Amino acid sequence: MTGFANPKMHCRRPRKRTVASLVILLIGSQLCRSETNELQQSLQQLKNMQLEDLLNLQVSGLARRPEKLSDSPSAAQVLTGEEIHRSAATTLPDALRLAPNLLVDQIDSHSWAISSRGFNSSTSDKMQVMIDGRSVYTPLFSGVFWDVQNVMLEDLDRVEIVSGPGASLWGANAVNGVINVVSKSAADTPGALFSGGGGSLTHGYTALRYGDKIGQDLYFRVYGFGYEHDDTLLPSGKDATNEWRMGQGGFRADWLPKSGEIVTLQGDFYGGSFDQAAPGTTDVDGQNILARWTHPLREESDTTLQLYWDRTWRAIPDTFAEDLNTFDLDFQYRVPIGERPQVLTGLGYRLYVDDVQNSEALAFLPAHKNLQLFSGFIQDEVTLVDERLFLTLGTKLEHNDYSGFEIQPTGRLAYKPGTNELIWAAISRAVRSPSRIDTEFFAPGEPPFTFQGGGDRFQSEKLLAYELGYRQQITHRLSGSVSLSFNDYSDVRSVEPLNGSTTEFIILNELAAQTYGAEFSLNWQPVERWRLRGGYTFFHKDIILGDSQDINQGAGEGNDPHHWFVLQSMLDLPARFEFDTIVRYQDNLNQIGPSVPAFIALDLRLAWHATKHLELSVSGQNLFDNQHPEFGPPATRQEIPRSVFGKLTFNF
Amino acid sequence: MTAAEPVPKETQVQAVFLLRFAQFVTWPSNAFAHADSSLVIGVLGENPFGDALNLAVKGETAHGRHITVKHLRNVGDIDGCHVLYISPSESTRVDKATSAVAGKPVLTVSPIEGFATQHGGMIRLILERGRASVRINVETATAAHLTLDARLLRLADVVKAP
Repeated sequence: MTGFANPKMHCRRPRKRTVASLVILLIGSQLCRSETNELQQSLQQLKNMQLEDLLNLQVSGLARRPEKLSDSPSAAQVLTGEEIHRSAATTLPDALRLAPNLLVDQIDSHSWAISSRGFNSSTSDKMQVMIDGRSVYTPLFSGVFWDVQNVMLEDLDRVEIVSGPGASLWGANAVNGVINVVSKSAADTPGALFSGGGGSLTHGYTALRYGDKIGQDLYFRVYGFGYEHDDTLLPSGKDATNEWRMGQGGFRADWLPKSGEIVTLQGDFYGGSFDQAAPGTTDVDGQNILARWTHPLREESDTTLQLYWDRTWRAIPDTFAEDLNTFDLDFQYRVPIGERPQVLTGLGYRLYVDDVQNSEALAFLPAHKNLQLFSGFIQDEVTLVDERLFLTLGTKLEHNDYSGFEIQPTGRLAYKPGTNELIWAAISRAVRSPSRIDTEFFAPGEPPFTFQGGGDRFQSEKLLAYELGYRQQITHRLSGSVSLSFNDYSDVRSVEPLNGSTTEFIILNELAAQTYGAEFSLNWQPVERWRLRGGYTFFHKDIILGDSQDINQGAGEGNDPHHWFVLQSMLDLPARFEFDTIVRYQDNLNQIGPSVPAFIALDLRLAWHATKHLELSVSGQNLFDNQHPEFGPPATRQEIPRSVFGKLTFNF
Repeated sequence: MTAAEPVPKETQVQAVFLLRFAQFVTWPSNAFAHADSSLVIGVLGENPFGDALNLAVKGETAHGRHITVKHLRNVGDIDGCHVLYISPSESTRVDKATSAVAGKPVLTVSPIEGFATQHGGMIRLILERGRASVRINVETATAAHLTLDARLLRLADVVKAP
């Protein structure tokens, strides 16, 4: 340091600069140099490779996706693996909270109400949810048991969320939205990873993965994880009894013999249990295996064949147990016509084999049921004005065992006033086809029944949706979107007196509903090191009773707030630190049904990449209050406590 | 997003591809003003490379010539380029760019969809499901009096004009 005291030794240094600013300058240029050095080293490695190896190199393909999104004439949002990694999420529903166009309310330690465009409840039944191409909503009630939809978050590539109907492509149930969870190719997860953590709500979080390459083209990974989620709280602050334990393992193999040719085989198995105060612990387990073959034909044209088997088991003591086997076969063909792709067409077949064990409390009759679903779709994009105006027409045609043939068309018009702007409008029809709970549900388990399913009298719930949207990539650091929707529902489920009785009721479709809403989203990177993303949703729902004598007066079909927003901030700090913030707000749930007070939730995360191989993080969830409820009637609902969580991730 | 990797790997790979194309393609001698003129890689539209392309060609030569990188705002500036990289930001103006150099000894390269099959381009950089590959339209390249090395052709997916 004596050198700084002698100006002669630094004669070129501008005179006015102080020692302090010089030090800062030196550190700054050192940082720049180390980044440049890293880039230079990485480039040198690439330059040392033969052309042949360079062409076979696996590199991440994420950067293309946002471009595709900006072309999409729908209210689609994408969560990247990075955004999820930088939240405090330990479960898939936690991760889904980051999507501004979804409403995610936690009910207890292992249950969530998740929907877009309203009708949210613990049994939300108007969403199509897929994990790596495997549909996970149950034909029992057309909803999702979220507690068994676990993914290794470290291996998640992205989650695509479409609010609004996607039925023309994804079929019955894609009425209010589609959630598509996509894990990384095995080629993108080489090496070993260990992640361990614990905190006040999540204990003993352990995740392991190992990925490698066999020969030139075959990649695989195996993984396993487990955790325990502690009880959520009663309004009094006491623990409710609902501890949740889960363990899951699985594998994925991707064979990439040549460009565009992909053969994937993947499978998972899990087991878990949830405590209950009475009558006892619920047990779940499940297994699935999926094979997918994508074969390229010519440029931008390919075929995909997919097959899977999925089994789930759930036993709730003294209530019911269910063993469900799903077999699914799906074929898809994509061809380019003219400049913009494409014609997309496909066929599908699904068989559900459902076995229910009934109880004194309730019954599904018959207890055993096979359900078949046949489907086909076609979608074409026509260019009306070169580079400006495009029309997408498509429809799905399905046949199910309850309501027979269902046709679900869409028409989407996209106008590009400039390179980075898109205005779109759509009209779509979608149906929520009958499930077992609508048609074959009886309570109590033996006659005389108080409640009974509608049988043949229950029809599909129908939606006619009108949408208008705008997206703009304002600069390469700033983009936003707006979508407006008006939804007109008919034949909405209701519970009616059976033949005028005051003691016997039947499930029918005597309600109608209209909803309208606006969704705003924003993605902004003010400086290289800081990114903000999020959105705000306004939503209004009117249930139309008409001649219905619904015993819930329309309150049985979900409960939604008028306003909610989510904002995520991701800040890269010096010395490989990351500081991340999530703020969520939800207005009162009081449109119809039991009121839940408005709340603001704050999550914080601080992470340090100690080395390239080691990441340490500490995060806090729901930091604003000791506990708050998010969903459900005051008498029975549980509240979500403030929690902290520490995690260590080691990969090599 | 992490500070450690400001330029994505896929973009680095594209930068190295541009260097290799300059070395594996032969230009007619009249494509250069002087015997010691450098070989110019032009980047049309938004620069996706950051520093990566400059660093990739630094100290490298192609056919004994130094390589320089030029950033071009619009199609009018492409004179003097030997390799023209058309950035994804130009996806709606791509035909204008390829027709401006049609028949001239300029190697056109782009990651834009359909570049080599529908837009009159020569080399399409493809990144599908995380794997890099290259599609070459030989007819367009030959019409521009460019000679492509057999090693490149063997590894690429070769297509014809529409």
